[in-house]
Amino acid sequence: MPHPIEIRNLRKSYEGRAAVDNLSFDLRAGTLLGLLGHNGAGKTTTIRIALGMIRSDGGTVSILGGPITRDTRDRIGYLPEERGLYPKMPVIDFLFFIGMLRGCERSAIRPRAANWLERFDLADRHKSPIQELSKGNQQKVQFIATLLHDPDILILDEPFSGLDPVNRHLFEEIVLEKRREGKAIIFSTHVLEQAERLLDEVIMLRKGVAVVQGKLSEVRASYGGSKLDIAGEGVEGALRGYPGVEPGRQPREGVWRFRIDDRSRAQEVLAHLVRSGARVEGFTLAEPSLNDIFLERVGGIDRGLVESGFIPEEAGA
Amino acid sequence: MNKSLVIILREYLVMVRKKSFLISTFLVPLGMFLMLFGQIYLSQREKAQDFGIIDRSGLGVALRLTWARSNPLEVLKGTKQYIFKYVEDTPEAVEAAEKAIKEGTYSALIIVPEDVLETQTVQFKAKNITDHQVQRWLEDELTKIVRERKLRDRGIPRADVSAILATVDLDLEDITGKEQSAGQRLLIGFGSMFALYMMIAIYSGMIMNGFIEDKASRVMELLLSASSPRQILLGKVVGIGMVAITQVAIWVAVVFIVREVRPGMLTILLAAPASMYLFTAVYFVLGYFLYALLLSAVGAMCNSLQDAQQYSLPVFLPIITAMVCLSLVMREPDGPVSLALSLIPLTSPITMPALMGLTTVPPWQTAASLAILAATLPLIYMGASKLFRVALLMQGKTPPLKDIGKLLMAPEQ
Repeated sequence: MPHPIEIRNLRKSYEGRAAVDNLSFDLRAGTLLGLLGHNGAGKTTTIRIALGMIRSDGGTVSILGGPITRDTRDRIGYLPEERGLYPKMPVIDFLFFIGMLRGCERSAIRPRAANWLERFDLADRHKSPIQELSKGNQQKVQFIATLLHDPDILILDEPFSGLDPVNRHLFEEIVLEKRREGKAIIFSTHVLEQAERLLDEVIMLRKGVAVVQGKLSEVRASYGGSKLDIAGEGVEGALRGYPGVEPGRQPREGVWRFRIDDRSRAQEVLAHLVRSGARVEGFTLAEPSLNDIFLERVGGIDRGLVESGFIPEEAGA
Repeated sequence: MNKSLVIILREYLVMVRKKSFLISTFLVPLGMFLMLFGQIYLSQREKAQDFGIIDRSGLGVALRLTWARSNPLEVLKGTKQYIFKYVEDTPEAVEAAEKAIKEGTYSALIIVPEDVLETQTVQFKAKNITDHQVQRWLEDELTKIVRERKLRDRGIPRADVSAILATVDLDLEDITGKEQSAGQRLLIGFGSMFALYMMIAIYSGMIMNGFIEDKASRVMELLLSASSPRQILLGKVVGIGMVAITQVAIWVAVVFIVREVRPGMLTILLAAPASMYLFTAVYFVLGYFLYALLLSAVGAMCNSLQDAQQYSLPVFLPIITAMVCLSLVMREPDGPVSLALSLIPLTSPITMPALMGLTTVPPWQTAASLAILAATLPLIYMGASKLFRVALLMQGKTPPLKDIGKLLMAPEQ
């Protein structure tokens, strides 16, 4: 059985500049796939091509088993990055409009809309013009509009941006609920801690190229080893050139981060430090976080780190 | 439900519920109504005007003028009543009469001098000397009186004098067999042209603004993710078009109701033959679609109202040309300019209804004009949806005018 979304060798360029370069991935039912990358990395272009809004220069996109059609388009729920709402339209009218535009019957929309409005604590605002709602509540309306036609595929562009913690939790809960129901979900985000908590699979894009791709656990494993945070004095000098230890960046004053090829090497490193007379004040061994992987493979958040050599040049370029 | 239909319904319902729609639908006829009523009321209320006459010539001018004015034909023609009062020629008479004019008892003082037969001049004193209608009439009548006396003085018999002074009338006949008078036709032609211009400009402009708003509020991306650009284009154009039709339908209903209540009040609006209303309606619908599609493309490309105003100017140029050429069309309804404007699809929706009011348009010309217009529409639709597709997702910058040709030719994105 084909996966809900199958993308092969997708290419798209604008005025000679590649926006998406040879991208391939599958989105499986019941999984959460994260598209991570800076602005202009190709996330929105990929999403728009998948939705049939723009055409690719090459490659194939298969939605629910074939090229996108009017019917399969209606089985996608899309939350655009830029929230778009008719400001003067009452909430319930907007939901009816979007629901019907996505192919639902009026009779089917009514109970669903009531249900979602209840869940998002907006039941008493259903007649209010959208512009009278707070930003967070407007985002809830937009989210309901995405879910209203009970789509098989959810494409959420920065779904959690601008939400307060309570609502972020509510949104997360619903996304996870949809995954349990077997929906296939793509979302793009730059909140990496959150992505780490939710994602099953991850694609990191840099200039349209997938620099990291795979199951989150595999990505972590393939990142190679673990990270070691050591606080103290003389640490960096003592470990320079030590086999199996790559010098890393300095996450904060007085702390050095190293990558080691194997967890078991940590003991050996500590012993070496003690022997060489470095003063060790803190010693932490941890799995690399998505943030670490992102910074190293996609980079660019702090150019200063690249220039000072703490992040490999090819990652930050 | 069909997606275009969903968009049509939304556009329609939102627009029809807007305050501006209610205002323009009900206030415009109300305003016209008040103007018409007001005019009738005022003309009925207008008092008869008293003219004082000091006649030093002994020609019996006051009597003659009164008689001329009460001639049944004159009474029928004029709405204003003039009463000519003989003023005795005392030394204070002129001063007293001038005072009376200032106080408003007299409208004017006419002084016929003793030697009027030589000077050919009569004094006319009034507060308001701009009523050319009465002045022209007085000149005609006084000329007649003076000429009559001169002819009589030369010994011509009374019967011959009337024969000599008899005026020549123009016998107006329209050989095209139209029932309306020339003035009425001009009014209908000009009125329909102006009404079409207003409706097409307002409603297609509304569409353009709609697109700019939807781009600005980012709703466009949502619409595009759920439906194709062509569905959106069709939905918006038809939806707003239906709003226009609703508005016109309400106005037509008002006209008919008024005709029932006060027959004769709006006769001028109903004076044209039925076919003319039909053609005006057809040209309105086709003209609206043409301009709505063109301005949709403009709206899709532009990101601000300022840009849109600049870009819509060339689109409106043909309509403006048609309006400017009106006097040419009126002078020569069957001339080359009229023919060209009636065939060019961008001007024919404006020019043709005016032309039909002015003259009888040969059937081949009507057929050719409609055929060209109808054939242009699909081309414009294809071009507009192409531009639309390319331009709709562009945010931030409006492509320069010179690039539009490139966009039209470019392979679809």
